[in-house]
Amino acid sequence: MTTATTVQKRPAVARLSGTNIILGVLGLLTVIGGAAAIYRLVTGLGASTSLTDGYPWGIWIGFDFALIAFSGAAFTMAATVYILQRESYRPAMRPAILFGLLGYVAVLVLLVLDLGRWDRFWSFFVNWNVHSPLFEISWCIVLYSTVLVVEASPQLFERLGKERPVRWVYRIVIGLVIAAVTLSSLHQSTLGTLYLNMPYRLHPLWYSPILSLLFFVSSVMAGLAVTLLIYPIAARIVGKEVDNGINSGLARAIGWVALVYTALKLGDIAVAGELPLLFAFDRYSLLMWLELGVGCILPMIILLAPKLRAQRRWQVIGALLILFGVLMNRFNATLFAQFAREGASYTPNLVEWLSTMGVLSAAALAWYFGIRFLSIFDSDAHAKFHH
Amino acid sequence: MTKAMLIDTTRCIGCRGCQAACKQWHDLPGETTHNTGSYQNPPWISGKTRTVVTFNELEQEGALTWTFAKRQCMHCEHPGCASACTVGALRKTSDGPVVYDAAKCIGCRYCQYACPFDIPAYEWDEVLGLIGKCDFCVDRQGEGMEPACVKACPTEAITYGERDQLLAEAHRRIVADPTGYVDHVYGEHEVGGTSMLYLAGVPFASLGFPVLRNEPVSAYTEAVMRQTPTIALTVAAGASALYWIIKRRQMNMVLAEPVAAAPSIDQAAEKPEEVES
Amino acid sequence: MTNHWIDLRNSDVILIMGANPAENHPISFRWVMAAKDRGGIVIHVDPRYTRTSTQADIYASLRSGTDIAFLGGLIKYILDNELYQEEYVIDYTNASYLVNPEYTFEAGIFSGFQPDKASYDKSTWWYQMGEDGIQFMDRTLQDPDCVFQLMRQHYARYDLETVSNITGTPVEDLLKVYTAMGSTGRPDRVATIMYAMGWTQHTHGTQNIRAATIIQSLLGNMGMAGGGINALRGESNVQGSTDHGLLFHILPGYLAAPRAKFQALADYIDANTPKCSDPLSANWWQNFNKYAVSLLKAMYGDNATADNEFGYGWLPKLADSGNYSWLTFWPNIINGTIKGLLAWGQNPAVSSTNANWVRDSMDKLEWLVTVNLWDTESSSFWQRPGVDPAAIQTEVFMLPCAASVEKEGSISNSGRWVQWRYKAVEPPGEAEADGWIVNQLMLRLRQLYAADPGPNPDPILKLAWNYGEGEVDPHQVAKEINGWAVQDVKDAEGKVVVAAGQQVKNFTQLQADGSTACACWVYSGSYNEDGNMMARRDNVDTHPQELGLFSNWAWSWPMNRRIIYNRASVTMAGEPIDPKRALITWNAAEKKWEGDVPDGGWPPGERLPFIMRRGGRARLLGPSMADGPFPEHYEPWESPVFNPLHPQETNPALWDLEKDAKGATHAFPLVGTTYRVSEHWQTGAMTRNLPWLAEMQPDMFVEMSPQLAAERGIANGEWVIVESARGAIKAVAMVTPRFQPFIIHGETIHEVGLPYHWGYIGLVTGGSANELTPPVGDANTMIPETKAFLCNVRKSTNGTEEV
Repeated sequence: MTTATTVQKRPAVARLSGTNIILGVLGLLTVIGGAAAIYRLVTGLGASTSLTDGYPWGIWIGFDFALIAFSGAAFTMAATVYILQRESYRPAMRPAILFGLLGYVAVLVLLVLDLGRWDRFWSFFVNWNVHSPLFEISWCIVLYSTVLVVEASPQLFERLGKERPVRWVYRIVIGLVIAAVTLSSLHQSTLGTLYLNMPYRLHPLWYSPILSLLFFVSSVMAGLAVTLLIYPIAARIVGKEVDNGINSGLARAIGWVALVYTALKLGDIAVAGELPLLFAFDRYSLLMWLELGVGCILPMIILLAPKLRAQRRWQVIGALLILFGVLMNRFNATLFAQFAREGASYTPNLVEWLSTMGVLSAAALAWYFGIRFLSIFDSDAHAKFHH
Repeated sequence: MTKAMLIDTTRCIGCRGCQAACKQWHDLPGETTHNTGSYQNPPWISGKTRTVVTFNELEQEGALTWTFAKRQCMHCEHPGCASACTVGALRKTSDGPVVYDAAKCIGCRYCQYACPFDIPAYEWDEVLGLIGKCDFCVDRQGEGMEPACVKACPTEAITYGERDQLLAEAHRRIVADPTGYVDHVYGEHEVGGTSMLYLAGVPFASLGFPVLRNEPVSAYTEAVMRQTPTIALTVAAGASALYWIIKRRQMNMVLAEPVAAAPSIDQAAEKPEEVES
Repeated sequence: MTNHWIDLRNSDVILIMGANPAENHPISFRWVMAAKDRGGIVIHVDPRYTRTSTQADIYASLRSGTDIAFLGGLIKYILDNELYQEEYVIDYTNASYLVNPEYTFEAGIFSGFQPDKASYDKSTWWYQMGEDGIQFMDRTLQDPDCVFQLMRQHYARYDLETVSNITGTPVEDLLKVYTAMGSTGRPDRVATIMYAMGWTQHTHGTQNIRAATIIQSLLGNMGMAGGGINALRGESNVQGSTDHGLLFHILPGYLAAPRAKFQALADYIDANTPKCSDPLSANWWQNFNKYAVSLLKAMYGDNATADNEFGYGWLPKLADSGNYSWLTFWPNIINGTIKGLLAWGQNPAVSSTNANWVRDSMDKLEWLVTVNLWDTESSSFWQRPGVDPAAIQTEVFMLPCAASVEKEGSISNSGRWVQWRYKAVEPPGEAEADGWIVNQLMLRLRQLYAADPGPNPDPILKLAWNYGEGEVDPHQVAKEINGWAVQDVKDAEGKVVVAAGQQVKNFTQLQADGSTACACWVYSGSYNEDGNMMARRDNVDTHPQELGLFSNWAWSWPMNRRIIYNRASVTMAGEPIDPKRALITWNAAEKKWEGDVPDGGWPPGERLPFIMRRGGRARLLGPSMADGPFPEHYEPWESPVFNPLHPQETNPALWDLEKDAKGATHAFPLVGTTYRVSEHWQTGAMTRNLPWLAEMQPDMFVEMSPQLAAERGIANGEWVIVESARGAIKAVAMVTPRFQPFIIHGETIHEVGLPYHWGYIGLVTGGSANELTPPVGDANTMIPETKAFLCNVRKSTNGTEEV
């Protein structure tokens, strides 16, 4: 019987007080956010948020939708490793899967906070509406989270030295990944479909018949960008060396996906005859320039330039800009590019900010400790259990 | 046949008996309001106010007009809210009303986004809030009675009956008084037609009625959603195919690699894993 | 109303002036809509474009207080263009009567003015009488002394330009209105006039209505289906309250309250019985004695006998020139004459003009009883903002009373329809019906007087008070109101017409010898041996032309007559003036009238139609008015402009109590007026306590034109201060094009409007418009002039200024 894997030596870098400060802040935000969340549940939406009939959704939904896109890291990396069978990317996969899992947990918590009848969140299990994008998204997220849990379970079981569950997971891993890719394609794209029900509310620069496709492509883009950011961080946390080939490979992939996205988006605007709107230089066109220009075209250029994408600094800038663009896209579609009723305005209040920060902080903390204490980069363990 | 209401704003005197009757029938509380420079109060539909009469001072060919428009759920023939509702709590009945099953609702408020008329309203001041909107007095209709607002109206600005008959009456009125009416029955075709039909003497847009196309709000969404099984199968099949193709190619590549000085039997036995990588 | 609500649908033209019925009578407004559906034309004349104006075919604005100028212009237009119905005018009005040649009108004053008394000696307004007691007439209407010519001369000054300069109404709008109204002088077209407080609440209010009478009489619209003059009453049963004598100067049935100088019943009766020698005149008030005696018999029962003048001596008498109207209460409370006040179903702290003065007066009361459904500003006057309750010694009793659906009884609407109502629910808590409260008060008073009689116990103890110890039976009261035979009533041949103890059929059976008792003669016939006529609910339109009479639905006074003066709808030969509106038709074979109950059953030509007038004819010249026989334009007591017609600015006989409370134009340059909104009712005691209504109209507001708002830098929706010489209140500014400035003699005059429903008690509260209104009243009725006064509007300091 094998003993638990040898504990990695903690290099000095992990004890830097900078990390502890960050962890401390995250912990504080988690606690405060938890209090804010409880306040919200106890007092109701009207008493605790700035949401109104003019703006029924706010930063919770905005961050939810963005986080779902970001959590595309899990299915994109799993697909890369298992479907496309690019083994060299394996080290980046587990941090991505863990990120995805915790991301979806955070999404579910934020969603519970947002639901008016959170006590009945299970209603969609028994009450079906197959026309509703949100219905499909809800089911897919629940099913996909289950898949993610199974996909991530070896990280725990390997650490605990439980061989049987790990083998069992690896026996079905292809099926899991195919399920993951299928479920992800569905709900990532349906998040775009969701906006198709708002033909008069959503500004025409965003409203498009190919919204579903655009949202799916951007989730791939975001997922790869997240991975590009977090893989080296994960490596640093456990003191493992970073494979720059992974980084530059991811960077190039992001660049190409961003090119596809840009082509689709600009092409769609042009075909719809909306180019004049893009150059109207009103608030909406400026938002689109920010989202597409700064948040997609600029990083695309950076990441497609071989000399730039080889450098870590430009990789980070490029990935952050992509994530900024996807975040902007979700917030624009949900809030800034909506034609709300006259006189309506929305400024998220303290409860909304604190609870959001708390949930995200908790997820970040969990990811940090997961990276530290679970089996993430342990190739010995992996080699042992994977056959 | 589906029931409908015809609201002829040229006959409305803005008395708001309808607004009060709706509150009384549904036992809804009054809201705290303030006069912001208009008779219109509460300012719009809310979780506790299911119908509102809007007050519109407009100039029509140099003359002042004051038009009152009762607004409430339009009970669309193809309601966007029902299509969008996550749990199917909203449903168009064959009799006309779009009904809301509060027992199913999870308060996600997606219906608020899917309604082009800005109607479903949320009970923000409840700890566990639900959506509120006009239910076309479906309980009264079930007993063979007209909706409360219809009964309260003193000038028959609101009439109730079969949709096709009300449409015929609406067009008859326009023909009988072409200068008194705008030649349009609002709700006849908008977003696929609604059970609430309107006549007016001033342009509907000036009364705050949204300008809408004839196709239902959710027509395209439902077309996309219908592809869900196809997409799922396609992606699964495609991913599987991709996996097998790449796997076979990699296996072939491994098999095609020249076998360098064949290792001794012993050497080969020491590294079984390499074959698998 | 001379006519009734449903009859409105029969009108070709409806003039709505001094009223806003879509706003304040929305349910009944359906009959105006019905008239429109049949092609009728609706005219709305109002300083402000209101909810009624939205349904009007013609809207004309006018400055508050200038209605007589407007209507005088219409009279001139009708006369100049010969639009009057000549046969009708000659036969049925006093147009042909010759007037005392000493009658004059100069510099705004009629002959006979007594400046020291601010009143008129009216003797020069009377007709030239022949020795047979009948007035001289010129049926050719040419004699310069005839009413027709005097009237023409009087209104010659009211040309279009002059009228437009006074009212601010553009000339083309005047012409639209005049043309439409003038078109109904033809026999086959009829107009009706709807009015309310916008006409009555002026120092010349009664003359506003007189002007309408002249117009409708000239056009031949009185007594016609779809015609008449229709007053829109403001409370559901205020018609009933005036019918039953709740005003100081009348007893039930509009019998004059006796003055001190009439110590003998015979003198009282004689003074109040008009004498007329004209055999064509029914002069129905000649039956005054029967009604007065029957009332006394009802009041004092067996105690009333022929020997004691039927108890006439026990009736309180008014001082000869005593005026006990509303405005006189408050000085008399202050000087201690009045020690206690019962505010029964009313809220004087908000409803009264010059409300601050009223509230301050109430501080001096020894005791106050309020009977109401709610706590009101009056019952809580002692804790109103700005006073120290400890400094007020008044003992306040609040008696909770039942609402209208919590008790049984009748309600009389504007159309004189008396409709029986039933009790739907029990009153809550300790609330009791008014009848119970009155009964308990009286029982205890009688006990006190019996125990300690004092100098004059008979008026209390001799009353026939037989309502039991608990709930008062409304049927018993209704029967008493109808009247019954105390002894057998016999006809001339000695045949018993009404047996003792039986209800009389109607007032034609009432007697002056004490054999009958009747508590209100105009209601006689409402509950007779045929049963409770007021409870009938047969909704068949009984008239063959479906004129909307519904004669078997409830009961209308008098005699279930739906349209009064309806003998004017036929010629003296008995032919309907408009065959399409044959309200009454003479069945020669059966020798009776068919259709509506005729205003007197005499065959055609035997009597003139206006049977309540001494002479039987409608009065174009009105010789008994306090302030002149012809309506004349006088400016409101507080006015921003001079009267261009003559130096007599205001009504010389107006009722003026507080001469130093008048505001000057330089401080208060705006015309102010008050009105109501659909959502609130009266002082808001009920409606501001109901959440569904409070949410619709939560705040006190003031409506003003965009031009005035721009001048003052006021934005729509911001709080402003409205002030007059008598007070200041906060209000939300509602800037609206429905108010437009008036051009008066080339000067721009602004008018603002205030709903009067708010006070300091209720779910929603606010300033009371009546804190600003003036303490002056109409010359005839003393009704306060709350519809036209001077005020100012300014921005509130930081939006938070309190007043």
